[in-house]
Amino acid sequence: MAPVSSGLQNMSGSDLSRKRARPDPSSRPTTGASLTERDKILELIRSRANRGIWSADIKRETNIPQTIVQKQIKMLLSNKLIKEVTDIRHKSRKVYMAAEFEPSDEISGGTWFSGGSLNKEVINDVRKRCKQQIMMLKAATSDMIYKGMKKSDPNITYTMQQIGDILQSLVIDKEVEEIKSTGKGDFANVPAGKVCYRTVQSSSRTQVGALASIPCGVCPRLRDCTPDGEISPRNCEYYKQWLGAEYF
Amino acid sequence: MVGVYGKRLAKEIISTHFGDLVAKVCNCLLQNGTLSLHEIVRYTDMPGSHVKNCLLILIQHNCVQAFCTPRKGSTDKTVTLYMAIFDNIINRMRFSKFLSLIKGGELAPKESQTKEGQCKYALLKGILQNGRLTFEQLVERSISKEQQMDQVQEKHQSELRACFNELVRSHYVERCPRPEPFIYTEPEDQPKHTKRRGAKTAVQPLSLEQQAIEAATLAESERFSEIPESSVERAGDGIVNHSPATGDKRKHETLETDLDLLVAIAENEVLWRANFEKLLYCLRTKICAENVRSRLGDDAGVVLEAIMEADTEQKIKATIVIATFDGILNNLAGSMTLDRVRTILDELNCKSATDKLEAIYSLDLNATLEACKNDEIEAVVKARYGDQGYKIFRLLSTKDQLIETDRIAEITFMEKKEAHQMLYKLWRDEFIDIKKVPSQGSGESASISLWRLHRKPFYQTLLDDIFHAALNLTVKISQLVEKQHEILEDDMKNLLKRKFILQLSLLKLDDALMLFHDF
Repeated sequence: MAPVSSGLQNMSGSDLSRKRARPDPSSRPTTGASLTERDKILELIRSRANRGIWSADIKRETNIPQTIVQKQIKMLLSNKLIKEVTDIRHKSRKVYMAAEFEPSDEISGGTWFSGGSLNKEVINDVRKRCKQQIMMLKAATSDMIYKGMKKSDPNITYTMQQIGDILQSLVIDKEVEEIKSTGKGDFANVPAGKVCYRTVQSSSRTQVGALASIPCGVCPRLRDCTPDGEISPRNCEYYKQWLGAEYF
Repeated sequence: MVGVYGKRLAKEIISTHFGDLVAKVCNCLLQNGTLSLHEIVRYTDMPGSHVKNCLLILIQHNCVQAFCTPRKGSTDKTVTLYMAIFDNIINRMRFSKFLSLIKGGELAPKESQTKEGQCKYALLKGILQNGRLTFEQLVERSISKEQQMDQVQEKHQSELRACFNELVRSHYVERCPRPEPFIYTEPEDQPKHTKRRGAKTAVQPLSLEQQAIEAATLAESERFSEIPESSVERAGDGIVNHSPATGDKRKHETLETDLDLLVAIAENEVLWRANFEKLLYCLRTKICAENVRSRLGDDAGVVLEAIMEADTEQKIKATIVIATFDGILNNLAGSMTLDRVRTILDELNCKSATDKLEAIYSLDLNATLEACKNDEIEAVVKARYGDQGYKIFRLLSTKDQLIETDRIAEITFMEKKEAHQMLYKLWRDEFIDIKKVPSQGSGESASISLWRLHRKPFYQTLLDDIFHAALNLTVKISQLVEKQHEILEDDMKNLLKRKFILQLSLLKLDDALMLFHDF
């Protein structure tokens, strides 16, 4: 086999000038390879559907250097092919999702969250509706409340589970009490023994505890306080403020 | 089990009422338990006569009970031991509350005060102030206060006896317990009786102190045995025995003499004291009725009071109250229809039964007492930790189970980080417990935090805090009393106003103390 060099030696001068220059190995192709990397990243993001993917996970799974990943993500964002969403479980992470998907409840936090924060307006609105149903029915099960809400507004999309959570929060705030029905009086519409809800009398919500109404009840140093010690009721600043007696 | 601050509060109360020497002896018993006179002298380093006098004062005021036991190593010699009665010492803070229970008394609104009510009030006040008195002493006290003329004293004494017997009948007042009952203790070298095989329940033996209290307590019939009328008074009332025969007349005279002797003993020798168990039961009724009133309405509060007053046992620690329907209706005095009463009884979750054709209702007070305690605790949590802490605490309190951090954040509509921070604060201050479980399915050594409210240990911690706060208020009141002698008259009004605030706060805090300690 003739050596390569002899092939070159056999070429004429004009042949040599027309020879294509060997490409510089340090320069990379700007168009074809970028498209491949971008596609790779986009495919990976799409594959995560409504769960999205963290930027660090993109780098790890594609083996593309961080700077390239950042650059490609920026381009995809500007082309509106992907979007950035907040993961309610890890708020500091940048999570990306294909534009055609909506974040799952796990990521967004569910119905009660919007933009990564609690949507207090929505929550308060649902609480108000639940309370209205309970006041109308005097005593009602969660089922009755849900059906009542659906009847008054067929467009609501909340589930029984979500209404249950709202009722729990009303019980915790003492606006409503969870009680077993006796089947009589206010509970006439609820079978005896079934768990139901009714509004709480306003006076029971305004109880002021005995311990909470004196300085000792809320004092952070109560455990260090002794009658003869450095911290004692005799020289207590909180008592002075409470009694309004600076000179005692 | 009384904590450090409970004992300190007791010492402070004795010191305020009887002075430092008596407080020293009392404190010695509180700290070291049951002791003999010789041991008290050794511990307090006081002369024997002073210790004796202090013990007499404490016994007079029902703060100490004496009892005899066989001396160690001897079969025929006995030793007298003394034990402090912590609950009776704390009851000294409540005298004004006890007096307010007398209907128509001086603490009732002016328009509802009655002569009988004022008489009973004065009698109970005398007994509370002096610890224990005979009826004769009560009469002398009343006469000296009102400066009665001799000729009306007898009528006055008769009226007093009627009021006094009413107090005994209502169990507000009782005959004093035995002064020095004998308690037999098994010698230490004797082998203890082993439990029979197959015994299913292990009965806890009573401690020496419990045995002493039991031995000192009179039987119910004797404890509340009224003062009978003398034969003269019975004759004056028209109760005359018609006895024509000579033999019968002699028998009648003998009976009259016996009766007069009984009356003399009952009036001059029998010591009477306030029955704290009944008085505390009445206070418990008031507090439970107030709670029910706030949750279920006025009528429910009235019916609850009627049930509790109709209970024949009226034990302070009993959580099941049993009353006949007729008894309940009697106490309601026709203020409600039968249907309304029955509806409320259902609302209160009363269980009904029939006993000898009589309808009986039983009420479990646990739910009401827990609701009262929860109100107290939740107020503290809200004041210390704000709305977020309050919501988390309410959730753990109502659920009474282990709950994960995420789920807590969900139900309370809180950000997870905020929920975790608040849970940590509540845990650090011993309001709630934490349990960490390894997280499954994770390669790292992660764990899940589960949270729970453990009521019993938490109640004990809170009770210590309540005792501590009550001690602080007492110390502060004493400080203002000391200042009363130093300040000018211009400042006196302000000082008295502040003292009044402290005293009212202490009375209110005492309600919480009763909830967590006495009820």
